[in-house]
Amino acid sequence: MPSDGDSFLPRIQSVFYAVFDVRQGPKIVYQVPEGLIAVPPPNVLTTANLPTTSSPATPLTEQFASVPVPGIASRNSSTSLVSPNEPRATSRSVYSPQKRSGSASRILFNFDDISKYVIPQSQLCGRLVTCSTKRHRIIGFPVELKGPKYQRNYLRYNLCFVFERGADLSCYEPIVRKVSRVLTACEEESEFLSSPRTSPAIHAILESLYEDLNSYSETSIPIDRFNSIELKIFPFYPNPPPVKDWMVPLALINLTKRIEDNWDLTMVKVCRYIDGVNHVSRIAHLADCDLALTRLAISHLLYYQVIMTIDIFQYSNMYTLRKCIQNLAVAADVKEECGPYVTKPGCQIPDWPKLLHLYSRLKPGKTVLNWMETYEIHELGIDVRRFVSFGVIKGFLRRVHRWPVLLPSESDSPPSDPADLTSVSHRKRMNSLSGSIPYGESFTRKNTSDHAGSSFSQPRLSSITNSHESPTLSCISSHTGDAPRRASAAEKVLEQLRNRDIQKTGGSPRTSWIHYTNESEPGVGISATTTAPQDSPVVVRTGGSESRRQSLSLFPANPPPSPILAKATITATLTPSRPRMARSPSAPVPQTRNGVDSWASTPYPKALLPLLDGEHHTDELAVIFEAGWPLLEQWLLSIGGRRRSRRFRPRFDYLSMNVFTSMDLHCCIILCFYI
Amino acid sequence: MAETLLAILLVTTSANGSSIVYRWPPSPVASPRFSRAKPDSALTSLHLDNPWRASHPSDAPPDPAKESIPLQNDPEREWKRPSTQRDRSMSFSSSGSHHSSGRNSPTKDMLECRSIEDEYNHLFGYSSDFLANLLCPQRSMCHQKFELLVDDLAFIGHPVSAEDDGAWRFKPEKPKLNDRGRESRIRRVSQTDRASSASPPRPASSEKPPPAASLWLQRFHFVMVLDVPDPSSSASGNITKYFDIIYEQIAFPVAAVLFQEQVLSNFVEEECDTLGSLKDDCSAKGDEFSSYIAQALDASSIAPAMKILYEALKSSSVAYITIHDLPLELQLPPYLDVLLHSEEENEPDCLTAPDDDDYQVWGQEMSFGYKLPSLTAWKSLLLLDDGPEGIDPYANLRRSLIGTGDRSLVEGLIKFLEIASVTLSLADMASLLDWDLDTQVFPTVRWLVHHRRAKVVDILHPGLKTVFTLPAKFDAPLSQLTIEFNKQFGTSGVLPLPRLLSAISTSSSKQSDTHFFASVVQSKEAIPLYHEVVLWMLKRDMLITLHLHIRIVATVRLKERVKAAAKGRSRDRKGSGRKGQSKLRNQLDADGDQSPPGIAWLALSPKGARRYTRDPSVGGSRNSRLSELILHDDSDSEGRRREESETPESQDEIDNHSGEEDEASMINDPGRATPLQRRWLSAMSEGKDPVLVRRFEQINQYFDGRRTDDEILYRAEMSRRELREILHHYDEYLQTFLHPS
Repeated sequence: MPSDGDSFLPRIQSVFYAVFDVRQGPKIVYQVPEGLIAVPPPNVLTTANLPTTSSPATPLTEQFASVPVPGIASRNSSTSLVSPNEPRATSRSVYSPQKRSGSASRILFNFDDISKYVIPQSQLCGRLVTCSTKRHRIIGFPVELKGPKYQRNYLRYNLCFVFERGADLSCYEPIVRKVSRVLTACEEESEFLSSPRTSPAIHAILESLYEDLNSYSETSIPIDRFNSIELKIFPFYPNPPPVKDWMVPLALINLTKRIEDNWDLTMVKVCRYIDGVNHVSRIAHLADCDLALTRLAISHLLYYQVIMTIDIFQYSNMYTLRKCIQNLAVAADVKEECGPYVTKPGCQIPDWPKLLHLYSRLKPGKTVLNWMETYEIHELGIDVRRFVSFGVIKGFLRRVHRWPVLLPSESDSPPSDPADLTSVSHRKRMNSLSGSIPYGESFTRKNTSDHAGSSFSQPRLSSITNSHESPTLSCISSHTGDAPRRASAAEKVLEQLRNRDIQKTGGSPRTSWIHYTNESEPGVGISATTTAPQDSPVVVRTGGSESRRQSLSLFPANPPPSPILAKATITATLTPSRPRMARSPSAPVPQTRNGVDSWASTPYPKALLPLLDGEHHTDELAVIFEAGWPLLEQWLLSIGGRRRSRRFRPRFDYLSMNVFTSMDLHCCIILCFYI
Repeated sequence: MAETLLAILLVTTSANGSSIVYRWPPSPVASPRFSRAKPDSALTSLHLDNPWRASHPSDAPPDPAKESIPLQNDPEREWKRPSTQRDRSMSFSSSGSHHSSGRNSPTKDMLECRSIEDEYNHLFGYSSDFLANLLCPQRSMCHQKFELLVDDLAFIGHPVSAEDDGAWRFKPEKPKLNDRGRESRIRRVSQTDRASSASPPRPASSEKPPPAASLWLQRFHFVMVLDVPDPSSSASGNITKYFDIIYEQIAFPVAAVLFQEQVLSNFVEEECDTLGSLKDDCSAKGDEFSSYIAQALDASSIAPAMKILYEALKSSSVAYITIHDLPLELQLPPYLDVLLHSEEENEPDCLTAPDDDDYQVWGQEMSFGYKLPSLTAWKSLLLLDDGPEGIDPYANLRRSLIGTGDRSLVEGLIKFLEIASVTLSLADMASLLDWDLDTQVFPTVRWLVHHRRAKVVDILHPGLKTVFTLPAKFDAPLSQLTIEFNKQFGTSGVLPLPRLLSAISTSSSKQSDTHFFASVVQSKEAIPLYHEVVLWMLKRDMLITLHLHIRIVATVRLKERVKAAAKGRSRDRKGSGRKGQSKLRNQLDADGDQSPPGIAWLALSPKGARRYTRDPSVGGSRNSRLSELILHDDSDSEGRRREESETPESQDEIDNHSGEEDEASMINDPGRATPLQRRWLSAMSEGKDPVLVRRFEQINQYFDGRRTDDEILYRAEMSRRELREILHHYDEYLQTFLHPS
């Protein structure tokens, strides 16, 4: 609620200096502009010559909020203060604000009303005190100095600023404190305030404060040879929300143009990779910066509101409309900017109704890829990434996150002995499960055709789940059985994951902390298919970033030997957000042709399990485990424990809605989105 | 709510000075907030901008025991308020040799020395006399809002005072706006609790007309002490607003009631006498302070009221307090604390200023922080019968209503409660009860919502054929919700909650049958059961109803057709200046279409106009962002880019205007269509069934993308089937949007 419409910072209405007078009690000694605060008629004036009474009256030209000219300000104040007698007259004649037209005649409030908060008892001294009258707010920092040299063994004074009642004073609090501190220092060193010789200079200080802070938001007032008041008001911004690794910063100004030599080194490095595509974690890798420092840098930029954050773009993402589409659909700027922004160069720009229609067809549950196929986006020449991010930036489109939840086994029987379970039996179970999907038909087209006759029935469900006593799952259910423990497990994992930043300094490869479950670990039921390791060399040899993506999942037990290589692998893993990929929807999806055989048996990191509690969405998981959605989905499928038959899997199957069915026995995905 | 509330105080002033008569909680503690290491006290303390140093001026005689009760256990992170009273008693008792290093060591001593005396006389580290004096301002500052911030404590209240002659009376004349506001406020307050307005002769105030004679009470002040929230966690100005709301909703009404009772029956003074003598007794007997506090709860009515108020505010429920047999219901907006947290986590939407409509419908009190949907005839009402109290939901309600003696009112309300159901719209309820919507139904709904007995929701289809989606966040962790859900429905054969949510969340991607029945329920027999499930979820805000919004598109083909027809018509009377004129006309049409300040703007009602002017401003700020973004992409010299970005834009504009007829466009507000748009609209109906055409003409004014299907059906008095028919037949020209309203 800034009081001034045009100015960010609240405007100082008045500055005054008050002391505890030995005879009169609390009393205003100087105020600028004069006469705004009503004081009771003075009986005796002890410090007789108020210097301002004689100053010539020059109407103040209204040139506030002009460009800061600190040079003038400081020069003016320096001359006026270092030698308080001769040059001040001229300087003040120029800057004297006392005849501000209009408001000068108005009395703001009576000093008596607030005197007990301005010059309070000693308990309140040394504290920031803000009191209010009907229309104004007075902020000050009363100080009490003790010593035998003072008449009552103490000196109490306060330099207060007066603002409008509704002003937000957050940005002035440090100012008030600092002014008070400097004045106290001066008083303690040279009796600047109490000596009648120097105290008239306070009036000039008040003038400078009033003028410079209102006009330039900064000031430099030398007081004596050692002390000066150097102030600059910084606009007050609230703290930015915490930066998460999966956020994608997007510059709102041209950051690289603003980089200066004296910038923080990390910031310079980080800025270079802010392109609206890279997420924080990736930026840290690309810029070769510490993740925590990168987060700090990003949040610093967020604080100054020069960037905003959006989500990671993948073709597997889902989006939905928000309420404000109803206003933004007719907003002229949205209409005009959208076409040129989202269309690839050289293509004809579709008209707004067409674009709007396309936006309206983005729905939760429908991936961008589905949507592209349904509406033949290629032919329209639309850059899908830009199309989606346009909506997100404008605020009428919202990312829908997947929140995987691992359901505990519903059987009440105790878990069977891990040794009983052979891979064969496990596979059998899987197969039997794939035949009976109780809820599948409500989610997917394909399964509807397969199991059209099946309908919801509770007994059947329990019979199915009863057969599920793989050690993995029982272990899961023990984690998930009671809420607090599960939460703590998730926290523990997160903690562990965070620690990897620290571990990284030890030179170990970044991926080494991920403990993949694979066949060598006893009791894990997903070892049924062992084709993956055999296939994998082929995968690597086929080359390309896609195969390297697979290599992460297929060589889980052997993380790349050197950290540098690890980094490269990671980069490849996160390719869905690479600009090149994103810009060419013709090849939108990394192909997992080689990962096909390892579909149901992909080893997954064990740490993933406790995080499947519905509190972590897939972007978060993807960034934590450095796996894109395709890989993550395979992991979820593995965890969900249903093996899929190859026959029914189309090329982009993992992007279709089938994933929800295929995991519905133990792992289902909730999609949430914002209003 | 009110997470910052620390204490409630009642301060009085007499000729002898001020004192804190009662406070709740008995020993409030300000939360320590300086998480910084303790500065080395050996250094000179010329650092007033360091609050810790500031509290220990160096040239004051270094006082070893300048510590109050430890606020928390970590000595490195604590910051103590000095308290002179205690200091003295401390320095007598403690050995007195902890100079600078002994900062932390005296804690043990002090705990021992924390005498009963201390508890009576100290509060927040200040002596209570000092605090009382501080909180009783000059008489000239009375009868207005009081706000004092001392470091991290905020004192908010509304001090009131007697007249110059010491008598308590209402201000006879209303010279200032403020006073009038206050008076009317008092009246309103006493009206809100119906008991007081309905029973004018209050039992205790038999001798009312002559202002009750006050013996000593000059001023009193009902103060709320708050912990000043961290300003950096919220947007600028929010904290001010936060304080204002607490003042308006709590501090002022209580002060007003107390003032009224003081004027009418010298109530406050009598209470203070009771409390004061009790306090003196207790302290003379050497009783614990807590025993005074406990006895006071029985002895007076203000004391328990303060206790209940504090506890209710802390637990974010409605406070039902009784002051001098005057029932009061006070509460803070449930989402008030949202103000204190930065907006990222909560939606920006929820903090936007309510529409003018909402403001009028809900009233000033409930316009902020309640996150209320708009109150309209096509909404429905969900009764929260298992309210937070859990016991008998209507007991309190009945009690407060029966007290009024207005039997018809009570009966009406009971009838309303019986009939209310989520499957009925408010308009339906009104017609069933034969009540007037605006004067009877809405006030009842407001009352119920304000007392948290009900909430306004979207109407639920009786067959559960409503399209739902999930909110961004649930109020509780999913695991906890699942447990609750299992408790409620575990045995009834409903899907487990996560699976249910999964089904709901994926439902809207399908081409058809996106509603709840098709995606979850699937059998008619299960409807009653799932009805309960839906209610359960609605009560916990776990479902959001998606609404259909419709817009009209004028396609290119349509435009060509209209153009051709117009040409044919005007061919015979084609004038010389015709062309330019029609171009101008087009221009005007285009302007009207985009609804910036043109003719269309004038045609709007003031309300609508304001809404229109607001929207572009929102877009405007975003606009700059995006243009920056575009610039960012082709990083080049600024001037050139500016030029580049502007030329195509203006070019585009020209194209858009002159070539409006060559490309498809939306008809943004069919209700105020331009003549050309009207021609388009009628051309859409060419060759259609006349019944349909009539219906379309009747209904197309609502196809502006803002109105929900519910609203359209209500306004056009149409059935859903008829609407579907129109959507089907005019498919070519209509775009549908599914999003929350």
